[in-house]
Amino acid sequence: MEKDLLTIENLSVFFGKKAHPQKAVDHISFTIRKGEVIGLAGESGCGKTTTGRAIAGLTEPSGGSIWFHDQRIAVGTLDQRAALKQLRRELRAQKKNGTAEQELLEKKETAACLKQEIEALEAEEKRCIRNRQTSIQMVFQDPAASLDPRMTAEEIVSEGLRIRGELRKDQIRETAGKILETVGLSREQASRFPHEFSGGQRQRIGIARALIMEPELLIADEPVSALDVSVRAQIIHLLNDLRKDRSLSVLFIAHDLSLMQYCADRVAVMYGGQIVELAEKEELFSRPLHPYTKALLSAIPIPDPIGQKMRKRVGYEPGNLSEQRENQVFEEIVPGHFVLGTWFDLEQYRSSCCRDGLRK
Amino acid sequence: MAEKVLEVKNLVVSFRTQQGTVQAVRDLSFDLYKGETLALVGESGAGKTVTGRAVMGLLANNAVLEKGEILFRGQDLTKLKEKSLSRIRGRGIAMIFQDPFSSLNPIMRIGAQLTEAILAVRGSREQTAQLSRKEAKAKALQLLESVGIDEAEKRLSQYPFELSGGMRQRVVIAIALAQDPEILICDEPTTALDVTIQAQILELLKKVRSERDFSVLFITHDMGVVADMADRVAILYAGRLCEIGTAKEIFYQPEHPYTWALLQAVPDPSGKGALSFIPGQPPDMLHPPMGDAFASRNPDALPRDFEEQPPLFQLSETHFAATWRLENGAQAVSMPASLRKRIEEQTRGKGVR
Repeated sequence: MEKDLLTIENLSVFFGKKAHPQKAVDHISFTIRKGEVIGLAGESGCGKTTTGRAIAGLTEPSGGSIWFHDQRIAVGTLDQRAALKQLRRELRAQKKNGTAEQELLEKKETAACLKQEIEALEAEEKRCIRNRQTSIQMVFQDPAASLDPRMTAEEIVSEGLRIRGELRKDQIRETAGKILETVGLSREQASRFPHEFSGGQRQRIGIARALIMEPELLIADEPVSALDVSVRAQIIHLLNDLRKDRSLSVLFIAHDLSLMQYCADRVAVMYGGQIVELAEKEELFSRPLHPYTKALLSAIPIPDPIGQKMRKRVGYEPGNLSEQRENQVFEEIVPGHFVLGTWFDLEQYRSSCCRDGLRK
Repeated sequence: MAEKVLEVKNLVVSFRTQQGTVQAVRDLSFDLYKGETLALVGESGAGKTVTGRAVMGLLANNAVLEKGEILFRGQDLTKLKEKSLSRIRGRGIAMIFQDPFSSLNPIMRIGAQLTEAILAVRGSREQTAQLSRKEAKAKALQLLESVGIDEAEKRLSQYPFELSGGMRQRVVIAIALAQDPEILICDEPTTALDVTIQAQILELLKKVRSERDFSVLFITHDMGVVADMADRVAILYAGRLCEIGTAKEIFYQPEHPYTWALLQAVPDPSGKGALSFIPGQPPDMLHPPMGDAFASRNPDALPRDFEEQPPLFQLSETHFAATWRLENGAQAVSMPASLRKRIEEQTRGKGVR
């Protein structure tokens, strides 16, 4: 098995007030292996971009940890705080009822431990920022909005080098030129401004800007959603080539599963801040288990008028999410294929997999 | 064949820019029949949006309608004055734009935007019976319900920012339908939306189309969406028509190399085969190439493709394609094998020739 490059443990990102948090990402865990492309799919608002931003260090996580090469790069104290709050509430209630002294003492000790843990984690937070590295880079969705219109392509691409303290101008120019060639642009285009490029070319600049720092992990946040179909295919090919040449790991975020077939090794499907299904690409496409994955697959229009008109679209209306979540678990159904569901759901998934296995 | 509701004849539109004249639409002709959906397909810069805007009379200031006719109800829209055009807009022809985030007024309540659209037309000179505000509000409510918005009463007093992208596009559709248009121009109505929401919006469009029986000019670059929506398809490249035919003809018997390339660039849902792309860039329309504009990106182009613009060769009553490979004896180039295989798989057992 290849080594894990990035590990995400119980990552949560909550926005807004503490009393009524907006749960953008709600306790997700997964790993990215070295040289792997992992696809993260889901509709807008499901938390896929927030996950990417948390990994890149652009959003502070509320809870959980992110590990990169065995180094913690982000941490939050949400779960510990919640546990402490719960414990204190229990203590107060027990004091009123007059529970045995011994039990109270034990609880107090645990509370003190938790408090220490929170403090330790908070101290860790500062260290995490220092641990953050240039080896995680991001490519953004909208190439028109993510490039400074007043900088030339070369300035945009080489900005990271200059910030890192690379001072020799000729060297910066040389590296920038080389990287532009890698992404399929010419050196002559280096002095042009973003508006002089087409959408696909602009996205190439965005990719070059990320690559110049020689990252190990590239977070591509809907890199092709704003592009035409034919240009889309070009960018996917470029990403695939880069990945082969540089053994790059990529977190490929998209709302559309159709492109995942061509670039991802494993695919995670998110809904409402949680990962509902995670599997190898072939497994996920040939045997989707979670109803949301099925809905997402059925929504992809296919270039076949008769087939498309005969196809039945599957809807997904889960009802009240927070209620359901309490008894849901994320479990491995068959090796490498994880699904979120209640015990009852999971049992059904398992038996359907068994039936498939027999048929094969 | 059904009655023609819109005829575009030899349309030429260009833009005057500092660099020179950009020829966006070059001699484009097509008809739109009653009750049908015609898809205009092409890459960015192919001239599809410009065509849609030309029909609506909404071209930018630096655009010049050089030549051509746009016939609607026996009138040539290109010759009409702004005042008479504005009477056709909305009631005769309505348009839905790509980005639902920028096509609604951010500081007006949904209800006000809807009633504005309803009253604007009823208040015009021909309609003597003026609707009261109350009646307009009732109509707005009914419209919102017809486009599948729940809690319509509450939505009327909300602002656009309170709605999701899919909901906003539904509101935009409701506004477009406010005056029962004969033709609805949809300019990439789902490009800015998620796949799941896209599927919902397409379903809605199909539903209202069957209820109200209007014609749709559907502009998109996604062949998957075309397969879902269109009765007929027109493939545009560099401002010209490459191929036009019924959806079945375009998808199952494509003849133009550009149509092949477009079909191959769509991800295959079965995941078989590699994702192919169209090499190179669309031509610079400041200096459009001679001959078939796609020739420089077509590895199998014939020598003649570079020299002379091919005419539209007729393949069936409804199917036309502009490529020299269809000229007698020039059939040397045939469809890529992978595409042929895909089409064979799709058509198996469906009774398509």
